[in-house]
Amino acid sequence: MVALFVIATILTCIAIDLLIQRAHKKREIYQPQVMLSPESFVLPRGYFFSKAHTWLELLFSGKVYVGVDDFISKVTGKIDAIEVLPVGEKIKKGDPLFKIKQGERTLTFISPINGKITEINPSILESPETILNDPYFNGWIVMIEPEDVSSELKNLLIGNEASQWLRNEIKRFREFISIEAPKFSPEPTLVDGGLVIKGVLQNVDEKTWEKFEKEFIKRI
Amino acid sequence: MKIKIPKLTFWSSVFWIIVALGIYSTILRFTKGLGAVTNLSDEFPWGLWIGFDVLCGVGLAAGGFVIAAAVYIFNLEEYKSILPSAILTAFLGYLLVIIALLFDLGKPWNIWHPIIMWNPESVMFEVAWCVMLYTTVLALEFSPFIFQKFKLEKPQKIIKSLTIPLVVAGVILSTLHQSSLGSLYLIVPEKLYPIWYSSNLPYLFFLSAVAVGPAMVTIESYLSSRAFKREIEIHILSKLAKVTAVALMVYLVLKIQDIIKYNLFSYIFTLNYEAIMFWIEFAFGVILPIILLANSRIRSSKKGLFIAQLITVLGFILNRLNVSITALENYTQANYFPKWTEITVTLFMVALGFALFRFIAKHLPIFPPEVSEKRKLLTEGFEVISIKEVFKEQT
Repeated sequence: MVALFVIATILTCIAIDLLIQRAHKKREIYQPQVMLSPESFVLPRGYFFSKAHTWLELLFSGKVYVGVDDFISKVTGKIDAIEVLPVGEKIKKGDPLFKIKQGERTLTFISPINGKITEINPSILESPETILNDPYFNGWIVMIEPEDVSSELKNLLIGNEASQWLRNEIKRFREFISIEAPKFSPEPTLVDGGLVIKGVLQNVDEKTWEKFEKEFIKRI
Repeated sequence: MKIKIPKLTFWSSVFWIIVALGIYSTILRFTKGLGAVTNLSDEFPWGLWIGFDVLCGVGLAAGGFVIAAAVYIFNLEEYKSILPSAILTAFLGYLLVIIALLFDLGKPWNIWHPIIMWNPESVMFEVAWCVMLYTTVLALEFSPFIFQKFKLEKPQKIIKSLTIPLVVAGVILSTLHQSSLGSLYLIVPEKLYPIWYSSNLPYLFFLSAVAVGPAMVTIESYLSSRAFKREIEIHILSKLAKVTAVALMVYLVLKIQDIIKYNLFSYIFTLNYEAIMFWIEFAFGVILPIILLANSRIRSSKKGLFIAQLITVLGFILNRLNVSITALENYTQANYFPKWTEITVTLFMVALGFALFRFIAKHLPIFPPEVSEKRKLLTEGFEVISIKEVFKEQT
C-alpha cells in the first residue's frame, strides 16, 4: 500500500500542477506576444515601414496588413477609439486611411499604398488599446489588397533602412518636443536611465498635437 | 529600504506548510525518538524513509554519473550543457539522502563510525563508504561553479586538472553504490517475496539507476525550463532517452530471465496484492516506457518525452518501494503504513531538494548563459532600439 500511496501522492501533485498551469496559460493568452519596454522601440525586421509611421506585413496572398508602429504606440499615450474607412473602399497613397482618437483629439494616418480595403481588425475596434501593448501582431488595423505589390512596396523602408529611419525619428521627436513643449522633453531620468517618452503627447496642447500630426504622420 | 515580499503562489504556500510540518516532525524525532514519529517496529525496521528517501533518492541522483560518463569518458561533448544541472541534482540528491539517513538511524551521532570502525564484510559498510566518497566527489565536481561565481581562478584550475580522475572515481563509486543497494536485499532471501528476490538484484538496481538517470535529467530540465523561462534542450534529451530505453530493455531481459530461472509463473499469475503490484511495476514502469521511448516521434516531442520519462521515474520509484516495502509485507505481517510525521519528513526532504536546486540555479552559473531579452528579440526577428542609446548618439 505504501508504494501505491507514494505514487498516488506524486500523481496528485502533477494533476494539481497541470490545473495551475492551465489557469496560468489562460491568463497568458491576453498578454502581448512581444515584450515592449518603455525604454526602447521594437522593430520587426521583416515588416515594411512608411515614413508616416505605419507598418505593412506582406502576406502569402499579396495582401498586406497595416498598423501603426511602436513609435506611435509609445508617444501617443492612451487611445480611446479608432475610426477606419469601410471594407471595400478604394484608397490612394496619401489618402486618409484611419484615425486614432484620444478624447476629442485625432491623429489621421494616411495610406502608404494604393489599393482596396479588404478587412478591418474587429478586435481593434472593440479594444483599441491593443495598439499600445501589441502594435505588430494583434494590433493590425486594416488589410489592404494593393493595386500592384511590386511598385507599391518600392518606396517603403525595411531592415537596416527602417532601423536608421526610426533612430532619426526618435532624435527628431526629441528636438520637436524640446522646442514645442520643453517641459515634456524626454530626458534621461534619475540614475536608472529611465526616459520619459511614453505617453508624451497625451500631455501636450492642441497646437503641438496638430503640429506633431503634420510633421510626423502626414508624410509620404 | 524597501523589503520585497515574494509573491505567495499555490506551490510556495504548500512549500512553507511542508517546511513547518517538517520542522515539527524533526524536533519530535530528535527529542522523543523514532517511536514517537514513525510506525516502524522490530518486525518492520525500514519504512518510507529508507524505501523512498534513501533508495529512490540515490537512484534518482544517478543522472550525475550517467551524464558525466557520457561527457568525459565517452567524449560525447554535446551533453556538456546539461552536465552542471545533472551534477547539481546528484549532489543535492546525495546530501538529502545523508540527511534522511540521520532521521532513520537509531543513533545518528554514530554515523561516522564506518570511517574508523571497518567491517569490510558488511554490505552496509560498502554503502556507507560509497555514499561518503561519492558525495565528496560530487562536491568537488560541483565546486567549480562556486569558484567561478567568486572568481577564484586557482582552485578552479586545480579542480579542472582533476576532472577525469574525479569522473572516473564518480562512475566507479556510483556503479558500486547503486548495485550495493540491491545487494542489501540479497541478505534477506527468506523475508523477501519471491517475485522480487533474485541473485541479479545488484544488476537490476544498477540498470534501473542507469535508466532513471537520464529520465530525471529530462524531468529536471523540463521543470527548470519552466521555472527559469529557458528553452528546453530537446535535441540532447531525446538522444539521452535512448540510454533509458536501452537500459530498460536489458533490465527487461534480466527480469524475464529471473522469472524463468526462479519459476515465478505461479506467483505472478496469481490474483493477490503482490502479483498486482508486480504487474503495475512491470507493465507501467518497464514495458510502457520502452514502447514510448522506442518511438522517435515521442522522443522528439517535448510533451511526449516528458510523459515517457515521467512514467520511467514513477516505475523506478514503484520498483524500489516494492523491493523495500511491498516484498516484506507478507513475511512480516506488520501492516506497516507510515505515520503522518514520517510522511512530512519525506515531503520536507523533497521540498528542500526543490528549494535548494532553485536557489543554487538562480545564483550560480548552472545553466549556459541565456541570451538577454534584447538578443532574444533579435533572434526572433526583432530589432530593439534603446531610446537611451539613440539619445547618446546625438550628444
